[in-house]
Amino acid sequence: MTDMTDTSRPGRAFAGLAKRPARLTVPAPRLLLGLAAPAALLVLWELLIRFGVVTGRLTPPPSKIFATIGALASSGELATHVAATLARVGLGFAIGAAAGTLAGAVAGATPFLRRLLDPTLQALRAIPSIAWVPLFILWLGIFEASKIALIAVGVFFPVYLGVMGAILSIDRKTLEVGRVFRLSRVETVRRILLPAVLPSWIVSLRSGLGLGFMFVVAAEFMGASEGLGYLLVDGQQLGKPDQILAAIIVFALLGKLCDALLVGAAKPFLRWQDTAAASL
Amino acid sequence: MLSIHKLSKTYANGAHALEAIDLSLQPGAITAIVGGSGCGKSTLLRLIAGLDQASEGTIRMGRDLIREPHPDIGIIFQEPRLLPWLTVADNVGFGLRGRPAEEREALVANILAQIGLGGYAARWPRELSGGQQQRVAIARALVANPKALLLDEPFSALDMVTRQGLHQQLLALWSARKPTILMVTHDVDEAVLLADRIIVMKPNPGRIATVIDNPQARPRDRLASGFERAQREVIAALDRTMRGGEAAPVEAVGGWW
Ligand SMILES: Nc1ncnc2c1ncn2[C@@H]1O[C@H](COP(=O)(O)OP(=O)(O)O)[C@@H](O)[C@H]1O
Ligand SMILES: [Mg+2]
Repeated sequence: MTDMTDTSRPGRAFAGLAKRPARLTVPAPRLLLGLAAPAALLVLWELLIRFGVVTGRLTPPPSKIFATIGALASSGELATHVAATLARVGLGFAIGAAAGTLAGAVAGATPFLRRLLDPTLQALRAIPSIAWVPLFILWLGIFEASKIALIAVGVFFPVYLGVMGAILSIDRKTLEVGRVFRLSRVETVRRILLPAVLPSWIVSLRSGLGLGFMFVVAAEFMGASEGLGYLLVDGQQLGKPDQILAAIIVFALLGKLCDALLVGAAKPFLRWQDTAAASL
Repeated sequence: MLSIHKLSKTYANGAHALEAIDLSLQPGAITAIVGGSGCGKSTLLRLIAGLDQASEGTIRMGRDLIREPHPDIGIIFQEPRLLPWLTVADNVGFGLRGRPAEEREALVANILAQIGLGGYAARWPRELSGGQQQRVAIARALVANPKALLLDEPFSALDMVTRQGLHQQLLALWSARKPTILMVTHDVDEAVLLADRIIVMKPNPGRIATVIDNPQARPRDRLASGFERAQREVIAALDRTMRGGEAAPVEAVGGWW
């Protein structure tokens, strides 16, 4: 509490109040604050094992996990696995996002095509995507094509829904501004539709990307000789929990990094937005 | 100039918004439309702006028949309707597409200075107050020097002080450019301050009840006797539209003030 006893000088208590927020925000950068909880957990975990409270056979200490990551990295293995996973996510995401954007735009902009396509797509969306796996393997084989198809399906739906919803919710009043200034169809799309839809599109791409990472694991479970998902399966079969946890951590970092890249790429185009949080 | 002949509008839902409107606007004059809500004022403006189609009758701008938005007719709505992804300067420049960039920049800078927003060119719309946003909307509509400007209750969402400031700025822009102005307002004071002619409308279906000439010299003085007389005349005419014996629904006559 601020010291309220000194009332001899008016304005003193007020000055104290005004200073307080500054004191709270200056010494605690957000990043460090966000890292405090996981860091504390890691230290506690490490100590419990060091002092023999738990054996750590199935829950290897952080030091061992990071050593495993280090070993995988220095042998070049990690790079191979990361590259394989990223290539699958990247390709599947590109295909799924492009198809979702196109279908969403078409369905959003033309009522006829919406009535034609949307019920079918909604029905397909209700199928848990993993259920496609056996079919994709039959159709596309056990190798890359079936994996990428699965990821693309996962990415498709949130992007489709996001783009269609965004187009449908464009304000009629905003479109009227375009009419008053006699924009052509192409100009209306470029100068009003696209900017109006952009924020929702980015949001839908982000959820699509998240699903892409989810589905790459499933895809790599169904038989892969490289990739982070392969590391998970391999760790389980050989009884190496440190490898499993190492792969999980790399997954987390990779996912966060890709998301940050997406947000960073979109940021210059969204500065006009009046969002509560500065970050998307 | 702008001339309207036997204009009627019935909406698809059966609402008979306008019936046989005849109206002709003098070039460079300011005309105000007053009337209870639901008597077709917005419908009339939207038809003139080419945003909706008339059921019967014609609107002409010079020799052009109006069926869609016309380059010589600008409109300002009750809300500023700025594009949030464009800066203030780009919003104003939106009305000048197709012109060379240099000319556009010069015209935008010029009109922003005229409405006292010279320092705001690089701001986003969200960074402006409601009154400032509406000023940008006025600049956007006027920057290309349209021959006619339509305003649909443009200041009704603003507080009185802001509104009075905007009256003066609109008058300044008008005397510099002399567009023909047709504005809807529910504020009798505003109508008498700005307009050369005040059209009183009545509902069910929307028609012109009375036309009141308001030939006071400018700048106008609210305290002058002519001002008060004109105000009383408009209020009396409005009262008559409401006691006109028509079976107007309560909603339609409620609260023009
Ligand atoms: N888009 C529309 N569709 C159907 N009826 C409408 C529409 N716009 C206005 N109306 C009807 O037309 C009449 C006139 O409305 P409007 O022109 O908005 O009046 P005002 O602007 O004078 O309040 C009202 O009865 C209203 O309900
Ligand atoms: Mg109206």
